[in-house]
Amino acid sequence: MKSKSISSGDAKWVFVIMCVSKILFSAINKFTYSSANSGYLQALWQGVCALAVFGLVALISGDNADLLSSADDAFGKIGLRTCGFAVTILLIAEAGAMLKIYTDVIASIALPRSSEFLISLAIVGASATLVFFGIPPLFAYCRGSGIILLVALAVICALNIPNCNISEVFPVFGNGIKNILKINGLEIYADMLTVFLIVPHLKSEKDAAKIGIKSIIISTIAITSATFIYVLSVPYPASTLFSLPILEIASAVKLDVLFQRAEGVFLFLWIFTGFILTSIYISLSTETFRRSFAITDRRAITPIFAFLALCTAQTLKSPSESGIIYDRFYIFGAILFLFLTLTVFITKRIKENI
Amino acid sequence: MKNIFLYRQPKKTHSFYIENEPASDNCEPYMETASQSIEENLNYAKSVFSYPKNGDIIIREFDVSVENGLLKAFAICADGLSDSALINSSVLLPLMCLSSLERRHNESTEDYIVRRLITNVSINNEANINKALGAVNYGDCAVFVDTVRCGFIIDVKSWGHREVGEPTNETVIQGPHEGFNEVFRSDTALIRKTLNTPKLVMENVALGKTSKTPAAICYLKNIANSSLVGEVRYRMENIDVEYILSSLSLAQYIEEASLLPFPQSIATERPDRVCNALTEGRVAIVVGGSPQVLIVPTTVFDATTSPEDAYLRFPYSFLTRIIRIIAIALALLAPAMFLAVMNFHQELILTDILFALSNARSSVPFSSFVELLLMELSFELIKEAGIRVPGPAGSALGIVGGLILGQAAVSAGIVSPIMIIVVAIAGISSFAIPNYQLAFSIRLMRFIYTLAAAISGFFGIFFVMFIESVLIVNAKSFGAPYAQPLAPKRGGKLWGFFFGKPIWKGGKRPEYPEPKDMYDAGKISRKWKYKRR
Repeated sequence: MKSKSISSGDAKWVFVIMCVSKILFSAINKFTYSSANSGYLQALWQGVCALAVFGLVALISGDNADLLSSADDAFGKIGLRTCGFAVTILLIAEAGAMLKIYTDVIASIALPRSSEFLISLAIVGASATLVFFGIPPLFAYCRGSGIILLVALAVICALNIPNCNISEVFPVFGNGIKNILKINGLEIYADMLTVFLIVPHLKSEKDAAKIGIKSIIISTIAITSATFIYVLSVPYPASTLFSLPILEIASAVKLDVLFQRAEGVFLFLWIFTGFILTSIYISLSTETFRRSFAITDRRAITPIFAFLALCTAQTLKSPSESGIIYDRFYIFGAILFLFLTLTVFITKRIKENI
Repeated sequence: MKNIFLYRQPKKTHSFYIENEPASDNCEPYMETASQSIEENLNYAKSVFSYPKNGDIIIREFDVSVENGLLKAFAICADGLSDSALINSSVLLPLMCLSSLERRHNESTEDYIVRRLITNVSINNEANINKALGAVNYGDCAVFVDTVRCGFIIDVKSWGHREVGEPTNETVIQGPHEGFNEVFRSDTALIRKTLNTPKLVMENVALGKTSKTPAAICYLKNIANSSLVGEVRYRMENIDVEYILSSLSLAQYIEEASLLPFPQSIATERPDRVCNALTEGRVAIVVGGSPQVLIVPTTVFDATTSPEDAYLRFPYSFLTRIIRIIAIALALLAPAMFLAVMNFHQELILTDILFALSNARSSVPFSSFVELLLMELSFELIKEAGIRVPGPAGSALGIVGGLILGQAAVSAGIVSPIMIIVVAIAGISSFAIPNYQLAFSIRLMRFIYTLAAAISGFFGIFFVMFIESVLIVNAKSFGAPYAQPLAPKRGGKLWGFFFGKPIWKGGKRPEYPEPKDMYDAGKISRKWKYKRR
C-alpha cells in the first residue's frame, strides 16, 4: 500500500481495539472496586477525562503532531533517538506483558495440557505475519476486525441481559460521587497517545486529533456499556472478585441451544484480541525504531522485535505475577509516555515561538 | 549458507495502485447531425468507436458512382454482430457495381441510394449521426455517403441466439439463460449487444508467442479507470510464454498472489455478469476458445455473490445472501468446530448432546480426527469421481457412495452417524457457494482448519482464521484491496454490501476499481414517484 494511505476511518479502529481490549482483563474490576454499583459512571467519567487530556496534548502538538519528527525538531538527532528508543522499549515491554497475560488465560481456559511457550510462540508467529506486511495493512485489518470484535462483545452483553437485575443500579452513586470522580483507570486510554507515532502514514496529518477523539468516544461507549451490564448482572461486592469480568458474564449466559454458555464467543474475542494487540505493539515498536534510527528495511527487524516480545513474556513466571506487574508497569508506562509526549511537544512549541 | 547469516536488501518489485482519474468525456469531439463531408463523418465515427483500437469494429471505405462522378462512402459494422455475406450482397455490391444506373429527374442522392441501389429489406435514413452509429452496436450496418447529410442504417444483424448455450456452472432460475461459448467473436458480440453503447471498447491482444490466441480487453471508456486498463493491457502483453489456450490459464499468469487460496479474478460464463461488471468500471478479458470471461479487479466478497442476486427482489435476495453466508461458514468450519468441541471444549456444548455424541462414537475404533479425515477423503473421492464419469453413471456413483457406503460404514462401526451428518452438512453447504473457484478454496481451507482444530481446538481454528484473514486483507487484485469495502474502508455502507439493498437504492458504483464517474444513476432513480402528474 501507499505510504500515506491510512484514512481516519481505518485508523480509529486500532485505538478502539487497544482501549476496549482492556476491559477483557481487569479494567471493569477497578471501576466496581472503587465505585461499586456506579462503576459504569466512573467508566464514563474516565472517558471524559481521557478526552480532556488527549485534547490538551493534541492542542499542544500544533500543526505537526508527529512525535518523532517533533522530537527531532525539539532536541535534534539525539533527542529523536532517545525518544524513539524509550517508546520502543515501552511498546515492546507492553507487547511482552500482554503476550504473557493472553497466553496464561488461553492455557488455563482452553488448552490446559499445552505448553505455554508454544502458545506464546503461535501468537507471536501469527502477529509477526501481520506486522511483516507493514503499517497500512495492519490498520486495514484492524478496521475489519474491530467491527467484528465489537459485535462479539455486544453479543456477550446482549445475551447477558436476562441475567441483569435492574435493582443493581441502586444506589445510583455507589460509594459516593467523590469516588466516581476519582482518576482511576485513566491509563486504559494511554495507548491513544500512540496516534502521534503513525502521523506520517495518515492521509492527512491533521487527522491525528480527530482519530484520537473519535476513538475515545467509541471506546468510552463500549467500556461504559460493558461495565453497566456487568454491574447489573453481578451484584456488589461479588463483582469485585472476578479477575476476568467479561469471561464471568459470558459463563453466566445460559444458551441451551447446542452450546451451554457463551464462553466460545469470549474465547474468540480473547484469542483474536491477543493476536491483534501483539501485532499492534510489535508493529508500532518496529516502526518507531526504524524511524528513530533511519533503518531502511522494516521487514529485516520485524523478527527481532517479535523475538524480543517473546523473551519479555517468558521472563514473567506466574499468571498472578504477570497480572500485578502488568498493572503496575502499565500505569508507570502510561505516565512516562504522557510525560515524554508533553515534553517533546512543549519544547517544540517553545522553540518554534523563539 | 551466506543468506542465513548476511542481510541482503530485498529485491525491488513494482506495486501497482489505481490512481484517481476524473471523467474525461469533454475532450472528445461531438456531432449532433451527420455532416455533408464524408471526411468529417469518418473521423467522428473513428473517434466514437476508438478505431482502430477497437478490434471488432470494421470500417469499409469505397466509392459510389453517381452521374459519371465518384462519391466517397464508408460502411461501418461490428464483426460478430453483423452478417458479412449480407453486407456484401445487399450493400457493397449494389453501391459499388450498380451505382452507374441513370438517375431520375430531380431524384436526390439519398432517394437514389434508398430506392434504387440498396437491396436490403430494412433500411432507415437517420440524420442524427449518433443514432446511426449507435445502431452498429446492435448489429446493423451504417453507411455514409459524401454530400448526403444522413446515415443509412441497414439491418444485417446476425448474432448467435439459441446456439449460444446455457451456462453450465452458473445456472439461474430467473434472469438470462445465455452463456459464453468458445467462439471469440460470438462472446464479444454477446457483450456488445447487451450493453449497446459505443463507449464499449474491445482492444485486441494476442496471447502466447506461438498460439497467438485472440483475446480482447473490454471496458467502458467513459467509466473504467485508464490506469487499470493500462495495467491489464501491460500484464497481458508481457507474458513470455509460447501458448495460452484459455482464460483460466491467463488468470494464473496475471494474478498477483499465486499462493493465496482465494480467486483474484472472477471467471464467469454469463454475459449479464460481465456487463454488470463493466458498468461498475471494471475490466473484462475475453479469450478465444474459452467459455469463461475474466473480470478484474475483484474482491473476496464478489466471489460470494450470485448472478441471480441482481434479478431477485430485495427481500428474496436478502434471504439467499444470508443462507449463502451461513453456507460458507458451515462449509469452512463445521468439521473443525465439531472436532474442537469433541476433543478440547466439551464443557461448551449441552450435556445431553455431549452424551449422545459420546454414545454414538463409543463403538468407533478411530479417534475423531481420523474418523473425520476418512469421511472427508471419501466425500472428496465421490465428488471427484462424480465429475469424471459420464452423467447417468455419475448420479449412480453418488447414490452408491453416499447412501450405500455411508450406511455400510456406520453398520460396520467404522464411522459414527454424527460424523456423517457433519461431513454431509459441510458438503451440502459447499454446493451452495456460487463461485466454483471459491468453493475450491473452501475445500482446501477446510482441511487446514480441521488439522488446526485437531492440534489445538478453538485456538488452532482462530490461529488459522487470523493468518487467512491477514493474507486476504493484504492481498490485491489489480491494485484494488482484496477485502474492500470492509478493510480498508472506502465509502459505502457495509450493510448494503453484505446483505444487498433494493435496486433503486443503488446508483453509486463500487470504489475499488476507481471509476471515472462514481454515479450511474440520479439521486432519485424512481422519478415517477415524486414527479407531479
